[in-house]
Formats: sequence, C-alpha cells, structure tokens
Amino acid sequence: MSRFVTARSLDGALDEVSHGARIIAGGTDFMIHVRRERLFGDEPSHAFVDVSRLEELNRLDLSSDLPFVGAAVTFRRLETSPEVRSLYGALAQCAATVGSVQIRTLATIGGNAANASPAADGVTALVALGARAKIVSPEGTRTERLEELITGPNRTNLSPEEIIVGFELDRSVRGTAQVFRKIGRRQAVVIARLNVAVCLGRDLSDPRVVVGSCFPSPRRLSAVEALLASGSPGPTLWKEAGLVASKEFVMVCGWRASASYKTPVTAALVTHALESAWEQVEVPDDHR
Amino acid sequence: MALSTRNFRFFQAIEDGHKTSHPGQRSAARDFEDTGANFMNLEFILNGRNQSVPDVPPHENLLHVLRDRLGMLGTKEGCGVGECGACTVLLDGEPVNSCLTNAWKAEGREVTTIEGLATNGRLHPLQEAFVEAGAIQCGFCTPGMILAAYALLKRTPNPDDDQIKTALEGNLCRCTGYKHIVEAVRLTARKAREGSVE
Amino acid sequence: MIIGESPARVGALERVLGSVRFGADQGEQGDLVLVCARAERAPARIDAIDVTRALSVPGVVRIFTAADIPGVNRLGIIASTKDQEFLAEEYIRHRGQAFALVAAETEKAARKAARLIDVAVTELEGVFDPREALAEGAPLVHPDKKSDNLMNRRVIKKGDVEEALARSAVVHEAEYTTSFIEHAALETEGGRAWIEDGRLIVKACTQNAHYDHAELAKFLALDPDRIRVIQAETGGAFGGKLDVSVQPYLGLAAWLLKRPVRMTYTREETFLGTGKRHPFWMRYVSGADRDGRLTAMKIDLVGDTGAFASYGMAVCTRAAVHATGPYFVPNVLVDCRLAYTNNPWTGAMRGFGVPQVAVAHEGQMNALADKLGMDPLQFRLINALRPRQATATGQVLTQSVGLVKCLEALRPTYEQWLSDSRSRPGICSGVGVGAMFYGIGNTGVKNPSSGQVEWRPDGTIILYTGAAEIGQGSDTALRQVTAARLKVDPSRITLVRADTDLTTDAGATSASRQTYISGRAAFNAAAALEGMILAEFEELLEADRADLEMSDGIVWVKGSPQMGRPVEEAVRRIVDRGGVAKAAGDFDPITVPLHAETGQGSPYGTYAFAAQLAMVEVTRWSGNVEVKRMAAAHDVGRAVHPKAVEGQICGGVMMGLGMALMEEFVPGLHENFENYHIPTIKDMPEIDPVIIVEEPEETGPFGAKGVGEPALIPSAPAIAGAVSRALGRSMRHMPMSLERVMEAMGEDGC
Repeated sequence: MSRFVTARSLDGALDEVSHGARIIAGGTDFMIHVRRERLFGDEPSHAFVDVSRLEELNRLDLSSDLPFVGAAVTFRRLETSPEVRSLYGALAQCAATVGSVQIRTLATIGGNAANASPAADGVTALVALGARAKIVSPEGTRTERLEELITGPNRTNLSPEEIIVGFELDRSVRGTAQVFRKIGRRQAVVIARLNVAVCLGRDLSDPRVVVGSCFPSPRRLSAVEALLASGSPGPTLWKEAGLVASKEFVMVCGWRASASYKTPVTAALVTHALESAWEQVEVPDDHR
Repeated sequence: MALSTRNFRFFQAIEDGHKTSHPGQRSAARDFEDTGANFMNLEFILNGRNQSVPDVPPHENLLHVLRDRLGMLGTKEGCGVGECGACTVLLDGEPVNSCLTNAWKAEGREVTTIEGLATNGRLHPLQEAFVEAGAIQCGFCTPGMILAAYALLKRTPNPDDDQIKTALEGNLCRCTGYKHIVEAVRLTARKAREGSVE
Repeated sequence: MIIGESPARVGALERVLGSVRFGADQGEQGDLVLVCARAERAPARIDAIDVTRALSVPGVVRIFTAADIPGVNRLGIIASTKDQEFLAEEYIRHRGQAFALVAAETEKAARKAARLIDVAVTELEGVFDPREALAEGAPLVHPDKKSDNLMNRRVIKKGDVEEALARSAVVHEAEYTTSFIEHAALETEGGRAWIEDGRLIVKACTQNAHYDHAELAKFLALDPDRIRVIQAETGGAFGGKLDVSVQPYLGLAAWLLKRPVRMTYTREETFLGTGKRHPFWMRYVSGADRDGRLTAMKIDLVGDTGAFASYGMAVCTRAAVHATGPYFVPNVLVDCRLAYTNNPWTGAMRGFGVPQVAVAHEGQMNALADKLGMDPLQFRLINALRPRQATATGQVLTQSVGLVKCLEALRPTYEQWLSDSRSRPGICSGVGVGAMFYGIGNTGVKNPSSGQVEWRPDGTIILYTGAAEIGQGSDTALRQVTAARLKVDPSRITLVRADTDLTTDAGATSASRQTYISGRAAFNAAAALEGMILAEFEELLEADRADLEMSDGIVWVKGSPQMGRPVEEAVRRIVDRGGVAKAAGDFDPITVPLHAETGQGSPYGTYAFAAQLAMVEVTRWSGNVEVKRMAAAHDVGRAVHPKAVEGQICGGVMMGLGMALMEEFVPGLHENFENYHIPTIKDMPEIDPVIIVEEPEETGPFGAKGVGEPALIPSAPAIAGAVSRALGRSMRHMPMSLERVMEAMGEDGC
C-alpha cells in the first residue's frame, strides 16, 4: 500500500516498517532513486515512513557520559552547531563539505550512514569518532560499530525492519584535535575522490585515522593507528603513517586503474591531516 | 508547526491506468499528472497562504507539486537530482532543493517560492539588486539564486564573501561567472545597512 | 549618451519575479506529453520496432517512428551536410539516438511506453576514436551513405612551411587534446506546439526561430506559410540550441494528431540527445627566429564530429582559420579533418573549435618563449597581429585590431602577479597568459541580418528582430542601438522578437554576430525610419532635410529647437495616406570565401581580440588546481552595454575554467550534473580587472563588434599556462584533472 507517513513516535515508525514501509529521513538520496524509477515509467508502490521528525532521532547530546548524535540530525545542524565544532570537530568539518546548503538542510547523518556510499563523508568522520549505531527493530535494540554495520558499497547488514536511532561516539576522543579533509574534482558540491578523518590527543594514546572513498567499506587504519600510538610525534612519524596508510589501501583494494592516483595521494592526505591535527594539539584553536 | 494527524493507512495504492477525475481541483497551468488514485490532500502554507493540493502521491516531490499541480512555474527544474539549485525553495525559511524534497515533508509547514518574495507589488531588495547589479543573464537560475541568497541574509545580514559563496555553492549559473551575483548580494546587504543607519 | 550606458536589461524584471516562461515551462492543461525512446547501444542495425506493448499502456495516444515523418528526415544547419535522422531509420549510429516518439496523456504514461517499445537490433562494430575512424578499413558510421568517415577537411596554405621551419632558430613540436564538453545551459530543451487556424505553431527555446521554421517545413513537407515558430524565452544555450531539439518532435506530433503537445527534456535527455563540443587532437610544429618572431606553423588537427555532421563543417573551417592564434605568421600549413564516429554527435558550442585550437597555439607560444628565454607576454606582443598585417588566410586587417592594446592593458597586472606569485611548501604557484582572435559572423559565407523599426501614431516605437535572445543580451543591445540611432530613450522601444510571423530572418544567435550584424541591421532600419520621418517634416516645416534635427521624438529646424514638432505628426501623415511608419534595414558583412585548396580568403568582416591572465595554485600532493585570480582585456570595438559585456566576459572565463579543470563528457558515463561538473561559485576566482578595450569597427553599429565567444577562448589557455608555469611541465591535455596534474608532476612533485 503506497502511503507517506510522518512518524510521530518510534513505536509508530516500527509498526510501519514491520508492515513494509521504507524509511525516509532527509530523503536526498532516496528521492533520486524514486526519480530514476519514475523516468523508467515505474511508480514506487511501497509506503514511506518519514522518521526525520522523531525526537529521539533529533537528539544531539555530545557533553554527556554517552555522547550521542541522533540519526536525523542534519548536516546543516552539525555544520553550524558550536557544540559539535568544539567537541567533535571532525563531524562539523565533514558536514560543511557535504553537498550544498540546500542538501545539508535536508540530509541527515543517519541517512548518510544507511545509504553506505563508499564516498560518504559522514561515515568517514563517524568511524573515526568510534561511532556505534544504535538500531531498533520490532525485536528490540542492538548496537553495532558503524564499520561493521556497513558491509560493502551501498550495503549494510540492516534488515528492512530496523531503524538507526543514532550513533554513540567515543568519549575518549571528545575535544581531541580533529581534522577532516576531502579531495574532489572541484572546490564545492563534490563527491570525495578521497577523504580522511583523524583524531589526535596530546599523548597519541588513542589516535584515529580513517580514509574514505578508498575502501569498499569504512575501516579504521589499525596499522597506522598502532604506528602513531607507539611513535614520537613529528614530521617523520606523519610521513611514515601516510605510507602505511597507502600500503593498506593497496593491500585491500589491489592495483586498479585509480590506484596510481589514490596510492600516493592517500599517503600525502593522511600525512597532511596528521600535521594539521598536531598543529591543533600544539596550538589549540582558542589560543590562536 | 502543527502536523497533520491524519491516518494515511486507509488510502488506496496506485493502480496503473485507473483514472479518476477531480472536479474540485484547483485550476493550474500544467496539471498533467493523473495520479490515478485517491491520495490525501497535502496542506501547507505557500507564500503565506494556506494551500491544499488534492491527491498527492506519497513519492511526489515538492517541485512537481509546485510546477505541475499548482502551476507555480517560477521554480525551475535544472537537473532533478539536487545538483543545480534551480529548484531552490524555502521550507520554513531554510533553502532546500524542491526536487529532492518529498512533498509530504512540507505538510503543515511554510514554503516560500520566488513568487512570494515581492510584497504589495514591491520588489524585495534582493530582486532590485539582481536587476541593478546585472546579475541576470538568461535568468533560469535566478529564482533559486535569489531564494538561496534570501535565506542567507535572513540569518546573516552582513555576510562576507566566503559566506556568500557558501550560501550559493549549490546554485549553478552557466552565464554570469557569478561575479555580478556576488555583487548583487553585497549590494543588498549594504543597502540594508545604510537604510538602518538612516 | 545611450551607447556605453548599462540600463536594466530587457526582461530582468520578469526574471527576478519568476514570471517569465521559458521553453521548459511551456504547456497547458490537457496537452499531450511527448517522450522519445532512445537507443541504449550503438552502433546497431534496426531489424524491427514493435510498439504493441507500449501502445497498451493506458493514456498512450500514438507512437511515431521514422516511417511517420511526412517530409525529409535529414536535419542539420549546413545545407550540404544534412544527415541527422530525427528518428532513426535503418541504423542506430550513437548511444542515445531517438528511434521512436511517444505521445501520451501523461508524462508517466509516455515514459512507461517509451521503455516498453521493443526494438530488435543487430549490433555492429563501431568506431569511437576519430583518428582510428580515418584509418583505412575502419567501420563506417554511415555505411548507407558514405564510403569513409571523413566528414570534412579544410586546408590552409600560406608560404613555405618546411623551408621556414628549417631556417628557424627554435622549433617546438607538441600534441594537445581537448575533451567532449556539454553546454550545460541551465534550462533543458522544451517547448509546445499546437494548431491554430489550420496552421502549426511551435513555441520552443531556440537560438534561431527562422532556421527552425525552414527545417520544420522540410521535415513535415509543409508549406512554410502554414508554420509559425515563436522563440520561447531561452534559458541559456551556448550553441546547444542552434540545432533543433524538441521542435521536430513537437511539430510532428501536433501536426499529425491535431492536438496541443508539449515536450521538455530531462537533464539526462539533454546529455544524451543534444550535441557536444568537438574533442580535438592537435599536433603543432611552430618556429621562431632569434628575435622572437614567429616564422612558421605546421598544424595537424583531427576533430570528432560524432555520429552526425551538425555544425562540423563550420567548426572544421573555423578551427583551421584560427589555428595560428592572433599572430602574424608568414608561413602556415593547416590540415584540419573532422571524422564521423559512433560517439554522440558534436555541434556548435561557444567558439566553434577555436577554444580547442587556442589551447594548442597558446601552449606553443609558451614553449617557444621558454626556448627563447623570453617572457611569454612579451613574446605575444612581438607577434600580435597589427593593422596592415595578414592572417593565415591572407586577410589583411586594416582597422579595429586591438590585441596589442589588450596585452598592454594587462601588463601592469601581469607584472604585479608575477611578483605576488610565490610557491610555498606544498603549493606551486604560477601565472599564465592567453590570447585570441575571433572572426565575427559566419566563415566566408553570406551572413545577413535584417530588422525593422516602426513608429506608431501613439508614440510607441517597435523594433522587429529575428535575433534570438538567449541570455547574452541582444534584446538589450539592439534596443540601445536603435534608441541611440533614433535619439530616444531606450525604454520607449518595445521589442517584437524571433517570431516567424512577425519578424524577418536575422540569422542565428551564434558566432558572436548579433550585436555586430543584427545591431547594424537595426541601426540601418532606424536610420531609414528617421529618413522617412524627416521627409515628412521637409514638407511640414518647409525646410531642407539637412537643416532638420530629430531627438527625443521632436523634430525642429536647426537653431529653433523651441519650434519643435512631435515625430507623431509625421507618423500620422504617413498613416493617413494608408502607410506605416516602418522601415527596414539589413546588413551583411563583406567577406571573401576561402579558396577550396589553399584556404586563402577574407572570411570575416571583423575580428575581436582578447587576452586574459590567470594565477593558480597547485597543491603538490593532491594535484588540486585552484585558480586564484583572473584578469581579462577584450577589444569589443565598442561596448554598447558595458555591464553586459563584463557579464559575458566573466561567464566566458567560468566556462573556460571548466574546460581547463573539470569538464570532460565521457559518453555512457556522464548523464547529469552528479558527475559532470561545471564550476560552482566556489571554483571562481576574483576576475579583476576586466578591461574593455575599444578599437571601433567602422562597419559595426557605433563601432561595436562581438564578445560572446571571445570571452571564453583565452581562459583555458591562460589557466593551462599558469599550471604549466607552476609545475614546470607543459600541460597539453584538457581538462587538467587531479590525475593529469599528479601524473605531470611525476614522482618528485614539482
């Protein structure tokens, strides 16, 4: 039965999905799929349940013991919120590079994750921040690391009856020096050719390095993080970390046509992001 | 903002070829799509007036409701995939691509289109500035461009060039090279400043 | 003063209000909707088209195939190369070619039916590279019509190239390439057709309503008097709306069904179904003497015309004529060939082949300057065409040659930027210069325009022009020219534009010709109208024509302005006699056709000249190029509306920047703006200064020439020069993508 339902409660939304409704949040990816179907002469026949107005999904609570960003929080909100900027800078920086203001006004962080594009900027930042997706279904609640939830290009292990409520973020990286960088084919409104998110604390104890638009599914670069955690900060370490990152890229993805560009640039991108992050550690923003 | 509390469950699915006529329908310039089913009335505030659109399918986008159902042709379709910004409208004052906005997201909310900017026969200062600064060439991007700039100036009355460029990054123009468009936004802000000093 | 002022543009008010109706906005309730069925694979031979399933879709009214076309299914602007089948007959020659047209009550039904048309094909071997297409034994693109794939060839010979190269102090040889480019006008093609009093009316976006009219008459085998074409407001075109697009489909369906129809392309259909810019492969051998004077250029050009000819012949000739750039070169040999391939067809796009060759001729200028140890701007100044010098085709330019002035005007900025430009860790910076010349109007062929001006008894003045306004500003400029000639305020003049019932042929809005040619025609019409009015006043005021003055709608005898009489007195006299105070004017610049074998001739009435500067920063480790600043100096003869001229220049810079850095249409890959990128506002640098150089053209209206295409031509070369300078490697392949820049830097960076 084709209908559009604006969910007023999570239970109501779960009821809809259990009857076959498709979840729509900002809808910016979804409406493109719908348009494509219509250009081919097919009308979507399923029901839609809009979860973007649910209170729980709009919760943004970064200062608590369990930092949380709701799935329906828009990129515009992430980009402009002073709290996000100061506590989880990578999320704010990545949000500012997603699409245009018009897109960011609609598009949500949860939708970005559920759509699971390998180039999703939000996913790169979330994974670096240790995001665990909080997922509800008629059967109950589960929590899963985002890098495990996303299983491949535009693939997740979400069942059609599951709704992402939001993401718990690591408290340990809160307020650390964070950098998100993106390379694209023009200066704005562009899909990432490569993107990176890094978090560095002063003692390098829990570094985070994630490179996106590079791997079939998001991953923290554990070898790079291990290297950083055991090294002494400085240009040599940043450079070495970049090389290890590019090795991991080649190892996972093999040598494809795009590799001749991506391999050296992945190395350089990681090095530069780490340099920038370390500058922040040494001279925090509020002292500049 | 009051949300509709209607239960949509009881309405029928689309059936290809099943046609119904809607005698009570508002006459529109391009009301072509026969939805072929009884969907609900979509109600929202369009340029300050209550608007009701009968039988809006659940997958419809706001752009087609505006253009094809209501004949509001000032909102343009340039790409259909949210890349060009020609279809920009304001949803509760915030700029969105109406091609990517499911029409039902507008239920109970305020939509502003280019037709809603001039009041009592007077151009909005941005509209005046676009004419004065030579920011218009073919004019196809103009409605979306003006609305994106309008949303910026509401929030940021004195934007710097970076803020102007960020606000307009989602609006493609193939004619002007953007120079006179930036000048038009600057001019509007300057005039507002000078006006408030007087 | 009217010329040189920048009043609000004609139509600006409707555009800010959102009330203007473009071609894509046409349509009324109850219209049938048209959608084309397009081929997914090419080349192929069509074995059968079965519309049974499609016709069963409720709401489908009729499905047309080539067999339904009453007239000639061969369209194209150039009479000798009309080869485009608007609905494929035997062969599908390129992916996206239309083979059927659905008319249905709703768009949904039309789209569904288009997908359900069963077409049985035999796939054929294709050819997708123009140089391979020209090789012996290549698969034929038009096996039913041609025994090879050569679409057109133009040779230009002047002096003795081999001998001059042998004597040159420095010689540089290099290859350059450019890509397919999509026009990307923001409005997709659209329009409406209906029947009125037994006549077919077509209203659609276009760059030339009068051409569309003639084409429709042939396509539908209809008496031209039974067709009226009205230009709908056109949301950008850039050459993409010179060929007909939706018009034949609209005409066919409306005429055969006798019902109103509408059709608007989706962006994907625009990508699939309209022409692109020709990609070019270019090999240059250029020489100079020790003093930095160019000695010879030997140029080999191959362009891809895709599946159909369209404007290929014009592009071929124009590329050849402009291949040397705006320089005096005593010895020239240009061989330009365009090949058919099974790629999407290419056609007119802003600059007609000249933006492509400019990438090469400017690359050569930079390389020769380097070899000579000279500054690139100085080297261009030495060689810039000057009055009384001859171009490659032997055309001796006598006046309105402003390149030296353009280069000189930019020199202070250039020197400032050179000293400002500093590479720093991770960033390489560079400054580049690009120069160009561009012949205004069609190449060595008749190129007339006409217009009329009417003064009505109620005081309104009407300018009738067939010239299509597409956003470039001809409405505004033509109104200013007419007003200036009649000495009245431009706001008094109403336009009747591009409507085949009401206007006469003004030629296409292309080749940067409307201000120059249609402007001159309007000027002449206004002058003739003034003569008509003054003739009446000779009697009314009993004065000699030479003693009469006319301004602001008043005529008086010299010395007695207080005794002035309104023009309407004369108008009423004419009307009372059963006449109309309406006069016609026309203009066709004098040209000498190019010689078939040597390419010698004087193909244009006048040339525009320009130079631009670019300052770029390249991020070493990512290959990202950011254009930080641009500057432009353009000799436009006379700027009728300086703000519009500046707008055209800035828009051209933007398009040139796209060509230089990001625009590359790959058939089958790019079908919308999701991955075909054009510059956003954040890609654009400050463009400052924009200098308007005025070297008046004596045949133009008030000295005006043109600027539409010249605006874009020097931009990509300037940016390429700046990137080359930044990297210390010559960048010869457009666009300079991330990958190409990284590759150019090599292992060591720059």
